[in-house]
Amino acid sequence: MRKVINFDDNLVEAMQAGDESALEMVIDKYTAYVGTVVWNIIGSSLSQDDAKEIISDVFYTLWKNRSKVNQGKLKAYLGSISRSRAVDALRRSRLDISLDDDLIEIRISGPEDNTVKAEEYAALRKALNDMPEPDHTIFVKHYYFYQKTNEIADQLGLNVNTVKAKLRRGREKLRKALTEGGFFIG
Amino acid sequence: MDKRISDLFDYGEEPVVTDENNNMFDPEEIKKLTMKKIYKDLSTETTVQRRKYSRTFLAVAIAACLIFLFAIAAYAIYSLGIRDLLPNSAKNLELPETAANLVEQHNETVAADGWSARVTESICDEYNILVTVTVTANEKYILAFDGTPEDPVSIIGLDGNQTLVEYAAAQGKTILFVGAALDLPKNIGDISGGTSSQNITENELVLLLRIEKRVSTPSIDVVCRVWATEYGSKEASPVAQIPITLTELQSEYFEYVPTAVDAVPNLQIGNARVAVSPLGINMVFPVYTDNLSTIYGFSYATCDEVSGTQGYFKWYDDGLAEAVAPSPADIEDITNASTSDGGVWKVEWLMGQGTASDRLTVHFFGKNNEPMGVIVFIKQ
Repeated sequence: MRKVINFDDNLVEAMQAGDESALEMVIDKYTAYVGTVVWNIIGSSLSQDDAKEIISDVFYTLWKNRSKVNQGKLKAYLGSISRSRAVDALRRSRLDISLDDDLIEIRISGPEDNTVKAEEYAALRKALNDMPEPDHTIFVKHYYFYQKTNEIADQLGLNVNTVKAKLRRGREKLRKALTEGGFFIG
Repeated sequence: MDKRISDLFDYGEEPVVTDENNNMFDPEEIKKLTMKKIYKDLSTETTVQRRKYSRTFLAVAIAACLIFLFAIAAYAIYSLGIRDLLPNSAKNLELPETAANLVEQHNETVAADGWSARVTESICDEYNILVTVTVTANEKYILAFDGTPEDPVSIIGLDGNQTLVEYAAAQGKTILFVGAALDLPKNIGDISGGTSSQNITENELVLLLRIEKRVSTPSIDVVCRVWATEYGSKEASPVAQIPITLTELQSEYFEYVPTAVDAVPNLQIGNARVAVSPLGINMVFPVYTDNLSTIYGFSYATCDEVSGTQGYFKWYDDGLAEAVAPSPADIEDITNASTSDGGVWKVEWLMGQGTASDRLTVHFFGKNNEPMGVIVFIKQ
């Protein structure tokens, strides 16, 4: 059996070659990470058993789509699938995950292809990097983990209005970063 | 368009969460649950076929599918190229006659299960890359680009009121959604662009990949990634990776000086660099302000002597130390306000149509299309 060194790119390559032991090593390495993402989204609404089911589904999806994972992107791929599966679970349970302040108007001149999406993401990262704490944590908890403002306020020991004000500042930084990135904001 | 901020997180390739603080879940238990799902899949499949999407497999597949490709080529009466697709892309331009004869022909091909992708043409200058890829699938597929099953059949060039999924069902075929992207080296800096497509037949379509870059790369190795997703299938889809080398067309360079550096209120204009290649005219000039809100008040610019494209404001993180004051929104957080970080705002026209005439007249417009100033540049 081929010896697999525990580095992400080697693990990805081994999985793509059909090596299930590489998948097991990925599970060893990333259960805590995937669990963090999943539990942050569903923890207040669903059970630990639900979370285990979602986590195993994430790794199952990784195995089924292993050819799509690019070198150096394993963790990001797992994060994306974890978030997606957790949100799906909330929706299937008919729990409302909509955020009141989620919309932003962006004007682009052509189709929104992968390049444009990458640029939008780059602006988001820039805005996040510009946010001090706890604004950064609040922004990620609300827009990435879909946590409501009152939940976040309870977790961080803050007033709800303070949380809302910091989200508002975060959205301003995002608008600024998008504008600097060449987008025009309505 | 209205976007969800929460959706923007889906577009990245870097992890958002970097710390793991969860020891609630036992990896051994997760392994058991996961492997159970995988083995359940294997036991219910009527045909078990392990797919190995390694490069070795793709190389063998290329050799094995050459006869298949030649047969398909024999049926393709004509193909479409950059000249055909460019007018219908976001750029909405004609390929200049000077460039048409300089388009490089390619034949790099990768085959996957039931479909293949072949790079057919490319052309590039210092600022623009255009590449076409022809995707061909076997008769059981209907090829579509970046659509949904509910889209009308017109997106693949057919007449009628049916949706794609209705048409496919009536024909007993499966929809294959294809997409492509160009992977450029990381040190090339900021890029933008788009992809457009046109069907030749139901099972053959051409993609035009258009990239705008800001770094000169006389010869550059890129990878064209093509993927195909079978509608309704839970099987993994292969991603074809086609390496190609692009050679830049040479440009002629001109410098233009603004006749009045402060003709636009609160904005100072720098010299313009104009690069003219067979693909068109590319013009870039820096703008400086001590109040960022000035920049945010602009929408676009036009140039009387350059047609086919407008000028847009673009942030260049190129090491030029032009500090700008924080915007009013940052005043509240003055201790955390960022300066330009060594970057600069520039206005750029890429792949415009025109010539480097003795003067270039630039008009600035605001958010409501209101005129905000005129600058005349004189060629040096």
